[in-house]
Amino acid sequence: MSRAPRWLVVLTLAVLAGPAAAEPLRLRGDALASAASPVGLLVLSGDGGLAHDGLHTVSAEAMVWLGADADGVTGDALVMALIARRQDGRAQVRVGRTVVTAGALRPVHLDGVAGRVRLPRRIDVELFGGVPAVPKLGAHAWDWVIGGRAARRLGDSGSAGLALLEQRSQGRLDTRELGLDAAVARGRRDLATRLAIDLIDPTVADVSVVATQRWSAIRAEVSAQHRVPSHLLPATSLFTVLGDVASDRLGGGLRWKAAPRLDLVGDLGVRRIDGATAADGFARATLRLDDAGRGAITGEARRAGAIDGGWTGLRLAARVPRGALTASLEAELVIADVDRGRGRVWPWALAALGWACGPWDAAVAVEASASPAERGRLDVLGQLGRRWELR
Amino acid sequence: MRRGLVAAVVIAVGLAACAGVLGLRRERVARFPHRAHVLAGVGCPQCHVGVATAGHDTPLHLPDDATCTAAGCHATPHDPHPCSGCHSDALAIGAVVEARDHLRFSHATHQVASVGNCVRCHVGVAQSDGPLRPAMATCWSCHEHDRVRDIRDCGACHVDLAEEGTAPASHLIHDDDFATRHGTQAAAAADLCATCHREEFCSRCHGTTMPTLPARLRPADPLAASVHRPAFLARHGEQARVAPAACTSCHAPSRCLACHQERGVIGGGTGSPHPPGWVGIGVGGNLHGPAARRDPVACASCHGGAGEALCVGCHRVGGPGGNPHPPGWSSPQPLGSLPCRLCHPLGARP
Repeated sequence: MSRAPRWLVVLTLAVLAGPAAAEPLRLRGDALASAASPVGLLVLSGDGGLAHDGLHTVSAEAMVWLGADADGVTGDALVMALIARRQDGRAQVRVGRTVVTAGALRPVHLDGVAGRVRLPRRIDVELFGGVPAVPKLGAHAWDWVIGGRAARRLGDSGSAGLALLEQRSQGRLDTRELGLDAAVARGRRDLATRLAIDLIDPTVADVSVVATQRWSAIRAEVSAQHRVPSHLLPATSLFTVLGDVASDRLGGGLRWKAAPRLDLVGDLGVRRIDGATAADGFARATLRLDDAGRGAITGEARRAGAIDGGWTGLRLAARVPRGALTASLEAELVIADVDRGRGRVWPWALAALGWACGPWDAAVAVEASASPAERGRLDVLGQLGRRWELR
Repeated sequence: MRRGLVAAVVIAVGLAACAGVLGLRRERVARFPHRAHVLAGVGCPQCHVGVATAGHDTPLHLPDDATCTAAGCHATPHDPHPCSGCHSDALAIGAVVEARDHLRFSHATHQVASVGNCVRCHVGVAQSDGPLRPAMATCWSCHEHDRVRDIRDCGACHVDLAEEGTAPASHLIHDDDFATRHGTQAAAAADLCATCHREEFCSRCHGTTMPTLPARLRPADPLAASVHRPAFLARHGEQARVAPAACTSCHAPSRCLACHQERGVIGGGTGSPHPPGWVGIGVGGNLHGPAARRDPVACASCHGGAGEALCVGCHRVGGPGGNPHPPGWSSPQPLGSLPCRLCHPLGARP
């Protein structure tokens, strides 16, 4: 039996076995069709409580897609998991396909088990293990990942944690990483940081720090990042032998609610790689057309510098609702610094008309673009979605 | 003089228009005159009939036309249309409906604790006609919350926060740029994220098997926050060049090759995506060396795995490509393991 039907059987049995629904079962289906490939895409998602006995809850969550193009029908599962938890939140376990995030370690999409226990003295312990998800329900022999995190919660929403991960690819040691993370929020100030250390060739692979200060209408943010690409690759990759050339970025951003319906956002940063520097930044203005923000117009200018040539971009987006209908326009213009034989100016635009009524929503859109891959492209998109809530 | 007057009028009209557009001048919203009713001595249960015994799943107790006329207060309405058409705020009613759907709250229970004093929670009723839904801080002024906050048990009061989609009032404010830096903040509090966001929310980006950008599933919402807008596909090559290894923080390096193969865009039809002078000793600068050193992830995204043979063809011991290691380079890996043995047959050293 292939992996997909096996998961379906497990979930179906769980649904049938549930003695009572603790929460409504929510389902959503989205169909997306385009004139160009992929021709069709169907996304189904659902979640809800399956059973509860007053102390424990079992719920399920799934998100699968089916696609069809000229080559045939294909599909995959993004999430397909059973979640069991104690009602008091002291313990939780997830089984199935899930995204695991453990502190400073990069998120892992895996088929396996992940659990968390809350111990006294505000200490949490998380453990996970399984097989890294392979696209299109594929599988590699002897691929596995195991890891965990221990953390102590700080204040309202912060914590400090230590995480460890080991990943094997076809049996060979691929990644062994140690992660340290910490975040604190005190009044109007937030500070979050994470640090990942490559233990195979001990080096700091990735560090980032974000500090935020809020005033009534202004939020300011400072961030710093240090990343060593060769240590983010699997240890078995030939490209790890090219040396430790770090990419460092220091930046700051400001968000100002200039008027009740007008937001201004700006960000500026400097990146340093291999002794050379480049600047990047953007400025954006968003004007809401009504107090609820259903309609809005936004304009943005962006500059992304790179040592061997960056790009400059402009973006305009608008959403104008009229009753059940919504007209929208999104347009971008990207101008590359260097012509690499694929042109330098790449415009893109998408105009759409959306409709929402009760559990139904639909949209039809026309997309036109030029890109490094295609000189010109015109596409027509159609989307239809529906929500169900079963009690 | 006349010209100045015209200019002044134009500026005044312009400012007035701007004030309206920017939201500085508030639109006149029909609100129910709660304050006037309080001052007239009308008690809350007189209009909100049955509220004192309302449980968390009973129907809403909003007054209708019959309530307004039944008590003799408005026995002869001045207009044949429904009262709520002019004397209520649709947004406020929407908030009440949302609260009924997404909060576990019983007025009956709270009537006992507040000794029938509605103002204890609905503090604004006597001051203005604004929305009266109490802030969460009001709940916390009576209810002990440290424990539920500790165990992230929002479900004690909130029914399905993810579906409710209400942004927190005072903390964890997410604006549209949060997606780009959320990793650092989420690292220390992923369980806190999970109190509002379901797994599928994360997996749309981190579950790298989706064949389309999540934003393309909502073509009519160009202002929805997302890491990659639909136009990202057109410029993702340039974007990847700007921030080395940024893509790897979510996607496996092999994802690039898989997608390019699927779409048949390898080399853009030219046979190679690289510019002239990319490879070749003494020819056109041999650009690939410094580029690979700065961003080896970009190389690995196409030439990883079996594709590494392309590099080893030149960069092997005694080969024409020379030593790819930087000065002073060393590794704890034994020569017999991968990737060393690709260039160094067992025991061989340069």
